[in-house]
Amino acid sequence: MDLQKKAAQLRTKTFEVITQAGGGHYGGSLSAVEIMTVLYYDVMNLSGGIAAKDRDRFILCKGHSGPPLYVILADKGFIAEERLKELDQNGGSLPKHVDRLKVQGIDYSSGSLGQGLSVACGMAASLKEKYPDTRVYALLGDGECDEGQVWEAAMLARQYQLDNLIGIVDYNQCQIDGRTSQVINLEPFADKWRAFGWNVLECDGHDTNALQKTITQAKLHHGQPTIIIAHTKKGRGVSFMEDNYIWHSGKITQEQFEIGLRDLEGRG
Amino acid sequence: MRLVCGIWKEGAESMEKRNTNQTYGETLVRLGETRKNLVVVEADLMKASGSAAFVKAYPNRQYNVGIAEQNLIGFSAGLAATGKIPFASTFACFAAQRACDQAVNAVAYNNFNVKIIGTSAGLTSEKNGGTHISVADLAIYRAIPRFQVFDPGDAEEFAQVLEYAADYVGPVYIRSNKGDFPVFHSPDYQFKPSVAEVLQDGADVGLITTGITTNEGIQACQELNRKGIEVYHLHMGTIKPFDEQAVLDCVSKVKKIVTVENHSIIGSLGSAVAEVLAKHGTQAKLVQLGLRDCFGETATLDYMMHKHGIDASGIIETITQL
Repeated sequence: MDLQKKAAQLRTKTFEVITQAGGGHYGGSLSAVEIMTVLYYDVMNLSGGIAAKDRDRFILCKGHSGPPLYVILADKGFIAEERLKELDQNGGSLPKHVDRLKVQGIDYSSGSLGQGLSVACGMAASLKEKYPDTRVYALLGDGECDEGQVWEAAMLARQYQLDNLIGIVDYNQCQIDGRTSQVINLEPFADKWRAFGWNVLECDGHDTNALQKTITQAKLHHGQPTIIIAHTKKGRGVSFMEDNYIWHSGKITQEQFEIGLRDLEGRG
Repeated sequence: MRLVCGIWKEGAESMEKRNTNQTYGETLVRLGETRKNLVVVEADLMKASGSAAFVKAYPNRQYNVGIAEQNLIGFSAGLAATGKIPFASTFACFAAQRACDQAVNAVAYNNFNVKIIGTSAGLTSEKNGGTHISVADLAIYRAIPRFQVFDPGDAEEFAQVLEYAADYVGPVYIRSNKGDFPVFHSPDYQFKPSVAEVLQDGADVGLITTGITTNEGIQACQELNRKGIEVYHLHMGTIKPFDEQAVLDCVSKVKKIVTVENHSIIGSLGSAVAEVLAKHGTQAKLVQLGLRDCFGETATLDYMMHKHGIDASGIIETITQL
């Protein structure tokens, strides 16, 4: 499968689904498309189905980036395609923030930032006993790393040598109120993770080949958890949104929608 | 007057005392024998919770997250998501306050099977003082959907609540009251969740207690019996789901009710009773004893219970003045 092409298709669908819902979290959804594409179409072991105890787990710590995950789950047949119309709708079955009790295939209902990595640690510690080949992937937002609990979990993962835990940070350098460097500067970000005892890898978060290689490298690492700092652009692919923090969430006009579609089709 | 449940030995002084923390460790060791997925999660307070016995018995079934209560609860949620039955404990103040959002989102919203034990609950934190005395933990957990909430009256009930929690699938919050307390339940006692216990029948006044205040209530009733005041005494070990019918049965006999709790009077036992009375339009005078919208302090348990009127003498004084 041409993952880069697949990601482009999923990005366009994500843009359409959010717009159809009346707007939403475009920025962080569009920045995370390649990461989720590589996980769900290449890296993660889901061969035994959702019920398989030894399957890989995915924690979307930044729960507001649910749309691309829903699009992927629909594309893979975990949920009906029709349900994508229910995103954010009154009485609908697809809540803005991912919900495990409403959507098959979601491993953790997130939304309150900073908690997902702790949950991923618990899963990794538990799974490691019986299923050493099973991995837990946790996708964090960069702004989310302002939360102190992320670093509590980071210390724990090192203490328990959770090398079956692979964290990926969608490092788009934007958060709601501005660029991360202006709100709360995360740098030196890689050094922070190293100081917390993690194996640190970095890659272009929009290059599916780079993501594949980097995650493969992470899987081969033993004795430490790995964090992959995936360099991305918020609102990736839509000209007026890309790398602009004001598009963390919002609504767009029909004209803007058409511009966005042209941008995405041109890139795809 | 008649004793409805034959559950206490004659004379409060003759009751055996048992240590709550020791009970926690011993009970978990017993429960862990057959429940291989039962694990203990601590936040650097293993000595305070009493789980050391479990750790000694099953060294590979304990996790210590360090002084990180948010991570304690989030990590436990992940353990539960993959089939473990985590018993996560820390001081009740931290379990309810520091890790409140984690209890709400990581546990309850996800409906993960996590058991949270709030240790040194309420005034039993004693000389750790106001920062450590949980005045709101029951109110907080009571307000979180999906949580069942318990404040056991003695070590026997505590042990049985732990066993119930181990087998019940869903979020549970249990108070652990630090110290040695009289065991008023008999060995043949069988805990029933969300069923209040009528400890004594009476027609003059209703007394509804929970946690460590039930022992105080029992002592108060003995003195009040001697004074000829007939007290209908109800023990509410389960704060949620709340036994509404038990309150209605009580108020069908008496029109004056006193609630007593080792907690703020806002949001827990007394509030729950008030809600039942209001919901059913029942006419009754309600006096709530507990901490009246204030913090605890650095002091002994006896001192503070007396100060806040939730010891036997305070209950007697309130009831005789009704």
